[in-house]
Amino acid sequence: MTLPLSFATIRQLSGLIRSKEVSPLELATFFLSRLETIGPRYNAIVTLTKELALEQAATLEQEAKRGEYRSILHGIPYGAKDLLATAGGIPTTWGASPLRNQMFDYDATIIKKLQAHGATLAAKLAMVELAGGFGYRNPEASFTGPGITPWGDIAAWSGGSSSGSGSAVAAGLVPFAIGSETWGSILTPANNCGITGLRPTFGRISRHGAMTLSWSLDKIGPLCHTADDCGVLLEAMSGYDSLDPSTTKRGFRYQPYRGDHRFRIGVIRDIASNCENEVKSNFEEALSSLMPVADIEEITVPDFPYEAATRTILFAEMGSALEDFINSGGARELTAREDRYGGLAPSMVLAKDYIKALRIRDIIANEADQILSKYDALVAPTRPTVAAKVEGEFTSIIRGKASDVMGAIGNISGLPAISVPNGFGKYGLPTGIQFMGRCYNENAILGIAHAYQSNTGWHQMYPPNGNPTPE
Amino acid sequence: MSTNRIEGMWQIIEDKYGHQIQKGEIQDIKNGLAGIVELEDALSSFQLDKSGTPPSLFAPHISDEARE
Repeated sequence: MTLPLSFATIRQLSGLIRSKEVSPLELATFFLSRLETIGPRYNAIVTLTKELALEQAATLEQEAKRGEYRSILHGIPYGAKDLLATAGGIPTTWGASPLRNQMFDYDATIIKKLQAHGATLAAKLAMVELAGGFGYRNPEASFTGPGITPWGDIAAWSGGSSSGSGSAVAAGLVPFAIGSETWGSILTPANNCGITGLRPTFGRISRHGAMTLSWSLDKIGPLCHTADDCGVLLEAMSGYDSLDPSTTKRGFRYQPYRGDHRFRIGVIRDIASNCENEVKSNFEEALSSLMPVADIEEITVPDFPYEAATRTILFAEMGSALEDFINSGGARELTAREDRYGGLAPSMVLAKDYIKALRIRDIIANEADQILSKYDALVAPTRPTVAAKVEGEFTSIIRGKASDVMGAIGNISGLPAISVPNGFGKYGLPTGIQFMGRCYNENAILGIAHAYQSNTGWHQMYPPNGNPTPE
Repeated sequence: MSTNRIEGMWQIIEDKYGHQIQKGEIQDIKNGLAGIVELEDALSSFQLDKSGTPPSLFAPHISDEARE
């Protein structure tokens, strides 16, 4: 077999299964072995769901022998961020030490959906404790240890809060993983791990069974090797769920880009001005490589309190969502020192400020929608820097000092965005470029990202530390 | 003024969660409260008009015009 299984895309693996070059059981065994042997290197795994994966794969194998395939995901193993509820005695820890034995007697809707499509759950993946809501200041904020990217000459952070989802895909431990984003938690790991991550439109994917950080900001989305895989997964994962009233009844059908039209892309003036030099030059080079398929224009956005409004909504909703946890004293057992009391100050957001932030959200979202009615996407560097060193301290987006205008506009407005790798910066660490689109128009940003990946090879570079096993 | 606002919020936290807080953490919590004051000031300086349009609470605005 010439195809390196560990870094194959969903489409490639699906093709191998259908041509019977590999079976669902062989695939499950292969990736379980990688998760078990390589996963600990990156602190990527909370629970290996070996028994479940092999049981599911055995069923899928029988179906495949009969020529029955549930979908393109039939027999493809995956990992889920450990904030998605799983039944069957599999813990769901939310990355938090005091919840390491937390059990649910039901599966999150997205877990059920993926199973129905034939994907096999191979691992619950590591995450920043409580999805980073309490203002962690270093990568150590997880009881499974700091998430580590497989890339780089130094030990560097895989990004948060979907840290294990990022490193597991980047190291070829699973073909895809599920993460979640309130503000930055899919795009940042995608950036730091040199992979592709999609934050769907708010309401695209059911959050039933997912930990709540913020009811009106949380989104679930995939991390994969390619934009095309993200499109395939979004079609499988999206849809209305009566158990999550925020889900839309609009369906999503992935329409792969065929190179049949040019895109219009907007760049916010000076959006890369505060980036590291390498991030900036990689961004400019990426814009140049998009020229054959896109018209790119500079734009300006109004001077609104994007970040203050987003942060206020996040803090107020988090204060309510995690009130019982704080009152119980559970926070005192968290791993990061600052997380043990970091939820207290945010709970002091006044009701009138929360309401004002919601009113400002309407204005921001309307403005963003107006701008995006003229463009297929706005583009920016995913993060202004490469990944932080593992032993270092940083300012998280959520805490309040790091600037992220694109992230604030996108998350407060519920806009979809995709991050793809676009080169390397300091210490050989990856950089990323993000495309943010209009609500419900994921096909546009998937198309741009796919066009970019068709003309570049960054998504096909695999970390030397990933140690692909002989196949 | 900010100091008073921070101290006022700190009193509420201390009343409710004082038993959970260690001495070395107090300044960090107050720094966090200073951040809350900054948020409040940032929102206060943004003038909303007095139109009767209600906000779409608990859900981001999604335009009816947005298409697949």
